[in-house]
Amino acid sequence: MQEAITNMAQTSKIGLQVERLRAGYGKKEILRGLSLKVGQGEIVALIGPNGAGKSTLLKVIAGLLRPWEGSVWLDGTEITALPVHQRVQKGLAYFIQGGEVFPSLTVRENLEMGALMFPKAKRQEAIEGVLSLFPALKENWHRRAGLLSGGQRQALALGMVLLKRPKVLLLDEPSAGLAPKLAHEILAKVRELNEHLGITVLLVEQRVREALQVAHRAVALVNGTFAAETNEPASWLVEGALDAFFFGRMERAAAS
Amino acid sequence: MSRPNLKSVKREIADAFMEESKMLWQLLANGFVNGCLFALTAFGFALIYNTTRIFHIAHGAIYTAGAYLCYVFLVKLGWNMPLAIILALTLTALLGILTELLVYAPLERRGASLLVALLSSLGLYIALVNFIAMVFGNETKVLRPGVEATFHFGPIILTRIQFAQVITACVLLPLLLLLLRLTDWGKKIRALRDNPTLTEVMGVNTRVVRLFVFALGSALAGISAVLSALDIGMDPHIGMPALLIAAVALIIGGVGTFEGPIIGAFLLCILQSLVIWQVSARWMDAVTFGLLIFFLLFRPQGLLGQRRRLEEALT
Repeated sequence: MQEAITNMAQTSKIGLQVERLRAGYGKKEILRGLSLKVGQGEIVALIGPNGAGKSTLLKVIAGLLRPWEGSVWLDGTEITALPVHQRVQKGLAYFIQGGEVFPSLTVRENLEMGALMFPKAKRQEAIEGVLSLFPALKENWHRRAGLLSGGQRQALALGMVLLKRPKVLLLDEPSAGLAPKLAHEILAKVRELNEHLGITVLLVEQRVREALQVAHRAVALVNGTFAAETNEPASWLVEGALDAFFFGRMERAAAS
Repeated sequence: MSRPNLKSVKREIADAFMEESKMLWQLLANGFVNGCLFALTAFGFALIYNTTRIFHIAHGAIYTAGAYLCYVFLVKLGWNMPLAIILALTLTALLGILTELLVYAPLERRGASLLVALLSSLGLYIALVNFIAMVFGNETKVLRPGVEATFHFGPIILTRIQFAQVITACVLLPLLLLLLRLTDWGKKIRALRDNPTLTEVMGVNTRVVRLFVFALGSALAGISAVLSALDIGMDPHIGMPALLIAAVALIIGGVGTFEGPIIGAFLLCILQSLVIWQVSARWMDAVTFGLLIFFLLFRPQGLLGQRRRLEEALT
């Protein structure tokens, strides 16, 4: 399986790569020597049971958590030692789990925070682009973001991340807490953005079914290490296909 | 008794009333002037607390240092007033930056808790104040000897320096609030107040924003200290009451807000003034802390703080 990943990477350019990552909180090790490559313009869905290290992996890539060992590469340059804001400037954007926004800033100010790196004259134009994706935000233009509904907040958070014009987008459960229809819409938007702008996406999603439908490739994590991958995510939609590394590995882990 | 006597009694009562109301106006004015001074300190303290969540006790020592730096340039070296004040404020800002660079930022990098930051801040306060006392002595120092010129506004008399205090605060505070609303730096500061992680993820170098906040907050403490010292002089311990008023003003005005501490400082100082009039100056601090306890019990979010939605509280 590990070879399959390497093979894939040789055929297309790599957008994002992590090598032998070890990381955790305090003394608790979460990622145990994980390696992963995501090709440019690819959507990779990360799936796995709770505590497998999916969110931790995204945090390490974004720079919010320093790894104990291993390296992170963006477009062929190593970014392991860079602080968060420099990674963002290099084209990495991170949607934090739960869709975080600045609650006491208005919707407009939130989007302006997203558009900070544009010169002032071009900000409005960039923001208009996002508003065309999420027209509902315009109705709440002067509202404090903390007063938005869950779905609107999620859309705003995604809009702010997209304003970074990312090359690589890390999405941590963009549809969490949303009604099924809204969740579906958000994931469809992700696919749309990927197709139109060629954004590379690493997607962590609790809604495994939807995630596998939008992804080009899926990788399963169990216990902080690589468990399996497929170039045909739809094949994992078959009843019972995931049981092997969800439940099998978990039992084994519990036994050890 | 004859009529003329009654008349004079009436006049005496009327005069007493006049005096009383004059006194009231003067005390309200004094409260307002003090409010101007402490609003500057409180705003600086709030800038730092709201963005970093550090209970920056050393702010009190930086306040004291501001006054003493001005003393060195103005009295010891005999430089002219504008130069002395500008230099003192620059160095005060630098002192704030150094506090962040050498104490708080390293602590944060090591993942130390806010309680550790608070204790370090207390330590820093004690060290700095003792250093100042060692170098300059404990006795009161005066920046400008002599009697100040006064201005009369109806029943109110203000000295020239009090007038300067009012003007400074009335120009600076609205300007700062406006800058917080309208500029990128202001937005970054408010963003950092709301959510430091997200601010970083938005590509902002939060370390630089924090340095800026410490510089600005400290300079404001310096301005307040210099203006106060020009009026009533200084000793090494002027920082602690200023810090306490700033902290109480922030809590009763609303933690997390920037307008709140300004309103809180005015409210507190005017109330203190009225207490001096009706009760005694000895009860000033009791009233300050009584008000604090009242707010903590009945309106913990402060005057301007809003109860947040559950989702907001989580972020």
